Amino acid sequence: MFELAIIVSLQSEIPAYEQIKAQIKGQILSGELPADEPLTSMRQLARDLRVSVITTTRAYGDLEAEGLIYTVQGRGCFVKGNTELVREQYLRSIDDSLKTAVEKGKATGLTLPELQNKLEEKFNEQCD
Amino acid sequence: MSNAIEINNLCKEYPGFALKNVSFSVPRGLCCGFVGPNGAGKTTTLKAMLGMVHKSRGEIRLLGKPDGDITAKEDIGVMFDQPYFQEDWTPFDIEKGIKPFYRGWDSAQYRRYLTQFGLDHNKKFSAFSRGMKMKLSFAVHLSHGAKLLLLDEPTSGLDPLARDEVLDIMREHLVKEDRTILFSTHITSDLERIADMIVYISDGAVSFSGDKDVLLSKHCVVRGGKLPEVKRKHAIGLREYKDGYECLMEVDNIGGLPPDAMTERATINDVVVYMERRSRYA
Repeated sequence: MFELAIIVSLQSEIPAYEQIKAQIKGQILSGELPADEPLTSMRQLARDLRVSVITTTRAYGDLEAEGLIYTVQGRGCFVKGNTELVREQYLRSIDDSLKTAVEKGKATGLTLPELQNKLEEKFNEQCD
Repeated sequence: MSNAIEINNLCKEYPGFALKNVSFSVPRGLCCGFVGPNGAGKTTTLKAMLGMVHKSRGEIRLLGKPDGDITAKEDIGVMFDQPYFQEDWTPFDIEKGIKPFYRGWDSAQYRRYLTQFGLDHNKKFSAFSRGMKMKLSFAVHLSHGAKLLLLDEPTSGLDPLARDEVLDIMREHLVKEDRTILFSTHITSDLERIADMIVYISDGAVSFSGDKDVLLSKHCVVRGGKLPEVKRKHAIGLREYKDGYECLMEVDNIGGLPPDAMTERATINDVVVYMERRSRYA
């Protein structure tokens, strides 16, 4: 069983179930929680975090609705091995890297064709 | 999800006090806080559920069985605020006395709980502290496999550590499916981190029953300098002083407050205090 590292603050304006959901989501998206890994049962998690059962049920329910986890009747919840999701994550990080490249390019006075050349060079390097 | 507790239009009349059409239900597997001021009818409701007072009217079903069906009692654990074992019995004597009443009694389990809770097997009941007596009651009821726990003020009169331990015992119990707890308490902070539901009873009638988060997200505490006349009707349990005011308000009604008004998340305690203030001084 994978150890979930989750912290819930009742002082926060954010509802407890949102906090739990966001943290598990983060761990799935970052790859810390691998696909098909069983999650702590909702009732156990409620006990561990000292929150109500409804709170964890709601968090898991939302995660399932968002396609991040799946339930096997009688066995509990598991992390979904969702390629589409991973893809989306990659695309987002490509966007970020490109943004940085453009920013740095502009700062050093590179033109668009010059940047494109550099991208082509890198692309071809990886193809060899 | 079926209901562990189902009460419909429960009525009971006493001279000077009455339960008025008390209705609420608690789905199996949840923990429900039962709150309300002293004399609101919490203990009377619990007693009616157990057949300890005769109801005048209404319908009660526990674990799907109608009241009066004693087979349901095997699966119910009850604790009133005073633990009620013989004063000179030791935990061993208590087991001997209680065991014959329950088919599902688990001696090994009982012994494990005594050890886990640090209860001396040979000490007389009267020599235990209040916290220890509470834990002993839990040991007894958890050892006969109670699925439904009805607890009347299980945390009252306990020091903060003992209270925390009792709440932990309850949490541990709830880890397994199909276990339900109804507990009354004045210490509403106990409910913040354990209760799924709240039943709020006031003057013999239920004024709220349902999801705790819904109750809390519907209300907020408002503080400010001067409450505009038009907003007065929305203020619940308004308290005014020379330079300001504070009250509870439904979140839907906070529009139109002056900019100096501060709103913050309501706790169960806030909801109970302000609502009670409204009903008492309105």
